[in-house]
Amino acid sequence: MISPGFFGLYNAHRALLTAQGAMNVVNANISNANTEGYTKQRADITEADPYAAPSISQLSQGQVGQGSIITQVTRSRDQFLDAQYRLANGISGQNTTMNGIFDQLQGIVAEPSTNGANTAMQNFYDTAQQLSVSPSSTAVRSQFMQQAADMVTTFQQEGQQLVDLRKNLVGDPSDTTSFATSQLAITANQINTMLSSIVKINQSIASVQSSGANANDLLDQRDLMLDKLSNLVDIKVTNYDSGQVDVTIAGQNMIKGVTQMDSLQVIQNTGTTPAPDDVPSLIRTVKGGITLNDGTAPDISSGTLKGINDMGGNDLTLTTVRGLLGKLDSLLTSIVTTVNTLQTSGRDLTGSLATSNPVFKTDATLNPSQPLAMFHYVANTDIIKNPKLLAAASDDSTQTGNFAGVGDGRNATLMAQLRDKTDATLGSNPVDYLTGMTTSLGIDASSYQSSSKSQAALVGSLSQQRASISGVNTDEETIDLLRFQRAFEASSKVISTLDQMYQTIINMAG
Amino acid sequence: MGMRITNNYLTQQSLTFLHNNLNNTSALQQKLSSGQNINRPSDDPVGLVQVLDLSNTLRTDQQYSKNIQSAVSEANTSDSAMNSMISLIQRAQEITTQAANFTTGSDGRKSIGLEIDQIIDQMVQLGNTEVGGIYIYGGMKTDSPPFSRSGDTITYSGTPSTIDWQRSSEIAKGVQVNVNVNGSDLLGSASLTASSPLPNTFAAGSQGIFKTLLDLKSDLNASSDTNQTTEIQARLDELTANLNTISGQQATVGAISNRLTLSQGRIDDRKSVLTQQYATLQDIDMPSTIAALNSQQNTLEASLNVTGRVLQNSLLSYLK
Repeated sequence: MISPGFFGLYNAHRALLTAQGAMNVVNANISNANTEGYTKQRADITEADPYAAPSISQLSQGQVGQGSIITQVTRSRDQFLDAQYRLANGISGQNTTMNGIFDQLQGIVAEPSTNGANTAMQNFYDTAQQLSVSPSSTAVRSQFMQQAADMVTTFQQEGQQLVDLRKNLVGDPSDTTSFATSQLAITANQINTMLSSIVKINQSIASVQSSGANANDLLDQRDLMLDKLSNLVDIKVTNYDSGQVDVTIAGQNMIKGVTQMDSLQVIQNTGTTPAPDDVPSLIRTVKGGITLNDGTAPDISSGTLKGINDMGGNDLTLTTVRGLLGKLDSLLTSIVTTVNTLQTSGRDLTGSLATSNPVFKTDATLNPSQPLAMFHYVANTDIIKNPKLLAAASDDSTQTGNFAGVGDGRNATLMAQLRDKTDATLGSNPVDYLTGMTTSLGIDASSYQSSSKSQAALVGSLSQQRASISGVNTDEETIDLLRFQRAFEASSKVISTLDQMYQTIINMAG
Repeated sequence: MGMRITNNYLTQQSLTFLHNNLNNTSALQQKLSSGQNINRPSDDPVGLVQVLDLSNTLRTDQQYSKNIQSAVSEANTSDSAMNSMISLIQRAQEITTQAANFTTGSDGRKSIGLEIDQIIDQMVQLGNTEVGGIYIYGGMKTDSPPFSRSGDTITYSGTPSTIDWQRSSEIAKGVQVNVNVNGSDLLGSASLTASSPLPNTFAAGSQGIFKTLLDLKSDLNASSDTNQTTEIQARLDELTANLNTISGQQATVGAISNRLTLSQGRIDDRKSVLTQQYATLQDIDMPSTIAALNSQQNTLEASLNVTGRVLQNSLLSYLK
């Protein structure tokens, strides 16, 4: 017994379809060679079920192949690498964000330079010294007050820039509209948008796959979205054979398959009175799962969100925006207090006690929305107008009128010596304090610089490993193109040969 | 089998390399255009501490240097005023010796007395020497002339000579140097203390050149026919003692001046050392930085070249 009459034609037809199908996959690969997130696809070609099914009445020559078919088109992807990539990507996102903020901080602190706080402070102490040598010179007195005003302004400008930066990062209680526009809130919104896109793609994948088709392109889109999301916040992804994924953030279920369970929100921290040391904003899930910054252990461990939150946070011991602000505040307050203490116990050029004429005054109406003391200091305008009020002389009970004379610069000498005097509130002298602040900023900035570089390199290398598996090599595809072209030609030849054979038989019958 | 290399892999890698090369080039460029090694704290946090310390020391030294200069100028003026005082006393000695001579009659003595009177005026003027509006012999009362004469009474209204009223100047960290000589030490009573507040009038019993000159004048003007030899001889001895007092003070000023000059020398020496150190830390090594930039540019060009070649290669170029 032989196989049915047109058996060969059907075989060859399947071969043509297989070659065409494979060609389509090659085509898709080539056209998406540079598409972000595209995973190289592969046509899985297998032999078709042989003819005939095994039975007692075996064909004499045994089973005959029925050609080839494409069983499925699969993506070349390694989920283990995906997980590694996303983990590294989260840390990289955090480091890159912090590195960027450190760059801004270094720009604000502006050291070493001739127009930073260090120069302003040194200029001030220099004129104090000059005053001690020429206490009767009105020019030197004016210059002293000028430098005092300049120093306060320089500190306040740097401080204001830090306040603005922090407001931009996490919002400011004095401006309630700033919470919606803070980087923290914008990042949380981005995360929410991605979460809802992922849910929608999950739904599409479910409907495509329920009809038995493969949803490779949708899977690619979804995986790309997950990659991007992992840069913003650390996520845990659970893959299912159905093609669905669950996503959790900090242990909270955000997505379960086709259902969105929760989303993030950033709200103003109104728990306590707005004081400088409160964290302005809290990160929560709508259903109340995660609360970052409320005093409990932080649960988000990486990502841009974490970087913004940490740098805008209130840890005074870390080099955060608030930490630097606190240090500038302590320093200026220490300078103001120590100088004023000397001034108000000394005698001015006319020999009067300067008790009611401090060098620096506190004006609460100046920058009223700022709780920190440094924003309220101002050089005493009475002394600026009348520099004679400056107390360069000591209060000397052994002299007539407790005043030795206009040549007495002893009090000014004490002011100049404050530069090298350890202040209990600072734990060092003002100069060393500022140097220490600048140096620790430098050390932290440089460590984030290098860790953001090395983390980016790790992400890069993982991304290359993924490209090695999932990427398209156009040379490979060209070879496949030739391979299937030849297969198509050969099958066509089979058809034309069979056709000639049938022709022969038909002609015989005629 | 080796790693499967894909087109994206190649482009990603090429981009990473190009990016790194550009970053390095930009860092070198920033150094070259600012001329500084440390442009922000993170460039070299440890070097930064030294750079800040050095620049702080250099600027305080600059202030000390200014202090020294103004102290030196006071010392110099003081020294020349004392020279004039010494000349005046020497002149007084000369004419007083003449007055002690038997041949000088009462008229002669009176005319010598007139010159002594003028010497007293000049001495008051020297006692009121000022530098840049500051009366240098008034202690801490620098705004008004410390000596004033009203007839035969000379009043000192400066602060006493106790150490507490010495004007001082900081010439190094924590080092104060007294810059002035007190007028009462120099010309008036040395017994003036805090317990006898100002002003102090040079009355009988007080010492100093003014007392001597005033006494001398009154001796010379005495209408007595006697030669006043004993009295005048006594004044001559006093004049010598006063001369010694002033010379002694001049030596003190000389010592201050020496000390200031030495300190200035130390500051100058230190300045050159510190400036050198500062330059080593903060100024870029121009030739080696330029060399590094050149080699970086070569690397960049090479990687651009390689990228161009690698990315061009395709099987398609060889299929006909």
